[in-house]
Amino acid sequence: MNNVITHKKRSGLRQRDIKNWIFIGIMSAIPLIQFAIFYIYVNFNTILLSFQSYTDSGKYVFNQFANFKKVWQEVAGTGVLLVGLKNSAILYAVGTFIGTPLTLIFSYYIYKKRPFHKTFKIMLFLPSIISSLVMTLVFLYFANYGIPAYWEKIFGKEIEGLTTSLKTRMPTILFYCVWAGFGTGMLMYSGAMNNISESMVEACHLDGASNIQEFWYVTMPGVFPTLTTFLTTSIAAFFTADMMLFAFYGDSAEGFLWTIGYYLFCGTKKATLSDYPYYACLGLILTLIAMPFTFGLRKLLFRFGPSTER
Amino acid sequence: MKAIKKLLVLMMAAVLSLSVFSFAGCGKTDPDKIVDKTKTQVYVYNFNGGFGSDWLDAAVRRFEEAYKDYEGLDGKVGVQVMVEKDKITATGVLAGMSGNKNYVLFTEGVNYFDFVTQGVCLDLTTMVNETLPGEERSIMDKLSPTMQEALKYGEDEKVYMIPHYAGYNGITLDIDLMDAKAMFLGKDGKFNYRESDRATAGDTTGASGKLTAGQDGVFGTYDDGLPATYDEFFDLVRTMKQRGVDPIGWSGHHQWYVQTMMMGMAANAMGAAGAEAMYTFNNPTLEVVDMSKPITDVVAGQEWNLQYSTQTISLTEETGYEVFRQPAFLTALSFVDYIVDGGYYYSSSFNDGTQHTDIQNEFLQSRLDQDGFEKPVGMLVEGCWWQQEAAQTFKDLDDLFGDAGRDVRKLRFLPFPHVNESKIGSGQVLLEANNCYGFINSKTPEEYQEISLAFLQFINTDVSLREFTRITNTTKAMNYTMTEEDYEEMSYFGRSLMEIQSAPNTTIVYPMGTSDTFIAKKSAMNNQDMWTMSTTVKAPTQYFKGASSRTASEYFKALYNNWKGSW
Repeated sequence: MNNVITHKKRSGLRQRDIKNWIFIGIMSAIPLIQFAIFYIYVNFNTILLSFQSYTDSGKYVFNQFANFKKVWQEVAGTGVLLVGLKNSAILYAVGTFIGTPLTLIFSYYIYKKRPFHKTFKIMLFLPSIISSLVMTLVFLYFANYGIPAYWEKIFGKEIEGLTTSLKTRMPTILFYCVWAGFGTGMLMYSGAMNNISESMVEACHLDGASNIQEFWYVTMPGVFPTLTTFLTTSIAAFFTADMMLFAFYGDSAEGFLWTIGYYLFCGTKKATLSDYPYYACLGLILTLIAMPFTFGLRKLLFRFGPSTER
Repeated sequence: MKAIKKLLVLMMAAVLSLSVFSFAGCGKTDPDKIVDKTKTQVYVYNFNGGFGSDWLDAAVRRFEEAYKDYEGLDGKVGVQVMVEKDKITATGVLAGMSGNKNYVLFTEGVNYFDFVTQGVCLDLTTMVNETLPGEERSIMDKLSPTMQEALKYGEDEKVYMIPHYAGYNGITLDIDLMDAKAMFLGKDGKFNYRESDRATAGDTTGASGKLTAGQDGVFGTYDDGLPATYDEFFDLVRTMKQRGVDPIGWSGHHQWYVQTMMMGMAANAMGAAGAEAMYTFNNPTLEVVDMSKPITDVVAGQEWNLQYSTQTISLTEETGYEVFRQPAFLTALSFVDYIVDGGYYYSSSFNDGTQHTDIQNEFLQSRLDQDGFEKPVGMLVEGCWWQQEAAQTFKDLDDLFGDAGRDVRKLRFLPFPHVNESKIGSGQVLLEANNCYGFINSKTPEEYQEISLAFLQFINTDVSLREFTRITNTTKAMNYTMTEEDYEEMSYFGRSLMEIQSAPNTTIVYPMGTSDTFIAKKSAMNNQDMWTMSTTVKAPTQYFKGASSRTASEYFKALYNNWKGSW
């Protein structure tokens, strides 16, 4: 009798299993197909393209390392990649050493519910919820009409718009990038801070810790995994960040502003079929450069960063 | 609880599915237009940019009427054209062709060879060579000889695409302002006249008028009293400045409008052979600047008197960069240098917050709104399609000030002045810059190919070409003639554009070549990036604005070396 029951149970399980598997299969099919096409196929094709060139018969043929040679010529010859590299480095440095600490401080301020924290929250999150094109347009008008008008009113002196003047254009755009970048980081850090145990914070205060000490010894270790993720992904994005240039200038930003990401994006946007192998090759090289740095930084952060358990 | 979970899962699945299927809805055909199952459908894609889609809507109405008795499959009678309007240019269109269900497509920024080699276009050879219904010419007959040759692909010389609208970049002049300030140039060398002082048409001596003959050298024509040479142009801008006018404006945010204008200006100075050499890399007697001899630049405020020596070279694909040594590049640079150094520009031209639509508005408004603007703006650097973009501004200004609508205002697409007097009367060279084409999707089901071909052919009949020009006040890149009635329906600006294109000695140059070098350099050699001097300097206007000591010859040499180095 028992055997019969067991058998029935097994049979029922199998049927349920099959149904579950069908359900999982259907639910997973779309993302898996998408992953296969837009990640595996695209990247595989990129690697292939890196070793190919386009012929006038409309076919791609293997050309060994000709594209790598062309990339090198671009680096050594026109120098466009070097300018891009320099600007990408500046953008990364500003984002990491100015943007990230500020985001942490603002997040802490909001987490501690200090005066006007809700206003700050809205103001800083605004660029993330409004279309970037709209925001950049508003910012451009403000920087080029608003600021000079206020300046003249207050100081009685005419000045050029902040992005009109070639001297202030890059710093202004960097400022915008930092400001526009607050939203996501702030949301993530605030979320992580809210997960810090209340008792730990209370204990910290009972021990007589100041706000700064609380931030450093309790909050920072609490949000460190989130911080690590951000720092690691920012390294990976080193070569793809475009400094919002496309939102500002479409594909016609002045050459001295270009980052590697902008160069890649605009290049592929304007590219004809014969240009794709070059950009594929460049992308491959940049990935090979970024990969060890990304993994290296991650390892270092996990090894030497603060921890609530240490 | 389980039921709620199931419901949630189902809702999530529905959201996922919808998000996936929503891609199919991108740029869908007019949602208000329901498929009429009693008729044969023709699916059409149109790039809905500056030229808009009004012209297509009008053509569709006529086509549906003309083919109302067309007998399709399964007893269907009549045709229904379903139009998808979007702003996806050629690169995006090509990338998405595998899933594109449209039969007929019109787009811009096309690289002809990419489309052809990818096999996405139906062979149009027979259709383009057929005499059009009710006409005596075929589509090929309406194209310039150069274009006819450039369209032929492969050994069997098949044609896969048809040129569409013509995108010219240039300068628009406010004729109302010229009249109000009496700034037309008279035969006495003074800018003291009005358009009404023009000689009567056909008066070849010009005795019946007071104006100069203009760049075409013929009295009694559209360009009388307008600057025929660079010298006269600079005289005009100086006059404008003296009479309280900001001579010329452009988008401060999109400096490249000046670059594309410079390219048109340079092509005009090169002449058709020199301009075509930029794409064919084949010219046995190309005139270039002799770099070993000194170049004397122009000083702002003084007479424009650029001096250089030339030599003749044989241009090949290997030495294709030599096209950048043509004097026209130097003269166009000197032109811009003179404008910038002399301060003959409207202040917003260097304000990064001034978009192209802003400058259009300010140009239009400045003459009318004397409270809001210190000075009117005399000229605008723009593409020939800009009035379509500014349609709402025209309406608003008409409401505010009266007599300010598009059909009332006298704005002229200025024929480019020649570098010197020797070229007067040699005709204009117009450089088509937008690479706009129409074609038929090679995946169009066989049973719908006939009607799709008929539609594309219909779009290129003289009636349709004229209608396009009447509606958009721009031109198609073909030879056709407008009637007096047509002109009456058009704006002054549209007429001025057509007057230049249809002038007897005007040549249209298309950025087309067939060589491997052209295919390889196509994306870099666009009208905007042609002026790239170095890695960091791409806009001559910004370069010259940086310091008045910077010269056109410095830029010219660096431009040449940049191209030579990267060839």
